[in-house]
Amino acid sequence: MMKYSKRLGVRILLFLLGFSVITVTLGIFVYVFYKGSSVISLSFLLEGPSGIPIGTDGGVFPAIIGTLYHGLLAGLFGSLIGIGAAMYIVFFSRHRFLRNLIQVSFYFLSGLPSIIFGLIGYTVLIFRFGLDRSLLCASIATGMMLIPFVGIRAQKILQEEGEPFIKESLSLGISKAYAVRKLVLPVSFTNLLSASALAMAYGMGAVAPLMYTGAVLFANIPERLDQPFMSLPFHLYILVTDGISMEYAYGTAFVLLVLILIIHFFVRSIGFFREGGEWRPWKKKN
Amino acid sequence: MRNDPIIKGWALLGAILAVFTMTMIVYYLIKSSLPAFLEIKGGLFDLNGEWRPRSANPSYNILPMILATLFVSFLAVAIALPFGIGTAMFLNFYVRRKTAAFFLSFIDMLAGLPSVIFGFLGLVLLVRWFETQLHMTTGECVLAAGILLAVMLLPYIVSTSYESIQKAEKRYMYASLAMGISKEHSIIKVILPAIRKSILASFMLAYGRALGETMAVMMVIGNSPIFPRLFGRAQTIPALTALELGSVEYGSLHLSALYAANVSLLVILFIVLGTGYLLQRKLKKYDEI
Amino acid sequence: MEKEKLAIYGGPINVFYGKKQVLHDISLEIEKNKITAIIGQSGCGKSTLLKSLNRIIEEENGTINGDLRLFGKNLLEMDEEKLRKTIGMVFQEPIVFPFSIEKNMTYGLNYHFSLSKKARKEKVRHYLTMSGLYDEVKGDLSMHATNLSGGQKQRLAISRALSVEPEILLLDEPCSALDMKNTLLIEDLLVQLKEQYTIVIVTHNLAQAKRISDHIIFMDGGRIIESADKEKFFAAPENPLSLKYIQYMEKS
Repeated sequence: MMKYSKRLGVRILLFLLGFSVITVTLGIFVYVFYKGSSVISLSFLLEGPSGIPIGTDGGVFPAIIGTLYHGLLAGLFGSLIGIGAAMYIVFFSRHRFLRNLIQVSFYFLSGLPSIIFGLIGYTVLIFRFGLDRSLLCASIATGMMLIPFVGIRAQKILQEEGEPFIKESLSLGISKAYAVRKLVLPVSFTNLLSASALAMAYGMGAVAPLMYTGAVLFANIPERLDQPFMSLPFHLYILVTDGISMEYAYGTAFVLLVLILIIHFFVRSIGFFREGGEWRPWKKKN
Repeated sequence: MRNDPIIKGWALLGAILAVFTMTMIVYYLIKSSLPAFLEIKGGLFDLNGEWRPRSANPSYNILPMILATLFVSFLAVAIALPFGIGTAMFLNFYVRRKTAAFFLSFIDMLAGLPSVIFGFLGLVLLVRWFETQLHMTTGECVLAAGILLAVMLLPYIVSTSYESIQKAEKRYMYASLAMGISKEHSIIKVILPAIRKSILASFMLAYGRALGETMAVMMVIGNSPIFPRLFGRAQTIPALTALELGSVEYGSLHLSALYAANVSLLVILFIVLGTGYLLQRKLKKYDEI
Repeated sequence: MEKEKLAIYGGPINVFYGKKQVLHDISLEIEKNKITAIIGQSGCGKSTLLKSLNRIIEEENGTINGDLRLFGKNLLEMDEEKLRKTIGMVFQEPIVFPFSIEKNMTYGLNYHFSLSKKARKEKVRHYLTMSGLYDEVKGDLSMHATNLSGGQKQRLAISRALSVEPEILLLDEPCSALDMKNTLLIEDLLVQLKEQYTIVIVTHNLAQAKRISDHIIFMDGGRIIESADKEKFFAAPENPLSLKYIQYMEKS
């Protein structure tokens, strides 16, 4: 049996470890919000960057829109491929080898450092195919990174929510594809949407895949896919490492954090409604 | 629409593109790194060599960066593990379930933070602290990167170890408490040994993640291509790639050397991750903790 | 027996999961408009046999070798959708789709038939009334199916299986998760249904088999040990194993 002092020691140690981690976590959020909120103004949110060097004055509006465009597009690429491949694994593949191959590609891609997608994207799209740095190239590079992010989650969702229904549906003499469209996808829609939204948030915060494939120091809001764009995380990176403006860096970090947290809260709230709440879009009100 | 070519087509296309992406990346990694491996050979891993890709007499020694990557990541996991496991223990044994769930989801949100924000905070808080408190001329160093990276790994380690602690508690704790043994004694003598395998698994997985972290580490490590010391500058392979990629020429040996560096890192990374996954799968299969 | 009186007959078939053989030399004669009960200890292969009849086992990487006839046609070479439309199946755990009762019912209908709104409504009502569910929910078909009780869910599953107009109904221990009241309700329903359908039910409940079935198939170790009319099986089983099983089950 342990001595009382030793027991007390263990308890104190665990409390200290726990408190320090929680404090650091809280501290990070509070610090960004505190430092950033003082920079935020309407002009910071709604104007383009200006000043000499550029970024010392004005705002980050083009970067906000650019980040959203890029996140949406990359999220779309990643989700379409990821969910499609997951459906293939769970429902349509009859060969173990093919299933394993896709599974391996999920794990391989998920293990790659984000810079690899920048490196490959830059080499293939910009060098090899001679494309210009653009929203499209950056979104493709980031989208590749999101394939396993969505795919692994989608596979789990479809397995858990779809498989029990598929056998039942097959017993009614109904084709698998019909069952997937009419039954499985509607049932797992919210969860698949959540996975895609989280992927979008993840893509929005990434710098490594887009720093040489599409993001630039200054650009207007892109009107076409083949134009370069401004991105909040890249803008933040430049402001900090080039020492352009620490004040504006706080503001940019704040805006980026808020955008990502909004998506996270959105995802959590639909999860909440689905789990415990009464919110059921398919239930008619009497 | 009974046969639904759209759904089948979507699934098939997704499957093909996922596999294609992997194949393409592997192909380019091998093809682009091959010249460096063939031409530079041992020069890539030379204990006395240097990384001077732009000099008139260039040399491409990536060994310092590989060691720096391994070192920083190890430091990060070594710091994050005790804090993460301790926090999980604290939340599981000393905090009410609901409060614990709140803090867990809070810590979890940390995982959603972009790494560039971590890098930024590391620079303005950690690095500055090193400079003012430790009187270093420049606070950018391996230790700063290790600590920062440790914070980034925390959410992952806390959530995985919380899970296995809960499992271990369900399986062993009540028997132990029923014998009149104190909570703290059970934590040290029962729970901690019970979860040692899953700790090893999450160590591997966390280490694998740390090896690939790019932006945050790059912003605080100082980026000198030299052998790493705890309080000195160094450079990791992802950071090296991110910094120099913009100024390389297509087809140059420099680009190929960057590829070779990444391929070397990936070999290590996938060995680490693979071991972690296998271990985790084995634990799950035999319903161990 | 004359082939015209049989719904499923033939064999022998052998069933494998991967390389492992799970059913050996199974030959069957399942009579039309009768209730056939497949009984045996757990793990004897009775569920596997049931799943082989509508070939849903192939979805679990099972393979069936041999020759089996469904109304004279080769069951193993039929189009799966057509086969499964002809042979409906109800599982042990009642599975309802997380939609309204109505949508659960129209799901199969819409796929197999093109019906007018009115005709579809009529059919939904007809099959739900058959299982007694329609009156229980007082005609409120917008009710979410996951809010039903276990017994109601199982009856919805039966109604849904009937909605695609099968000729044979397979049930895999449909009552094992239910209470007494719902079990009896479903047993009554099955006895009524045999006027129009051929029914094969897997059960581990010997009393249930005695109550409702006409014919018994007793299995052990992946083989059919005995297949006989109910009266004969319980009065004078031919195989000593059958007798042992009956005695054991009646004691417990």
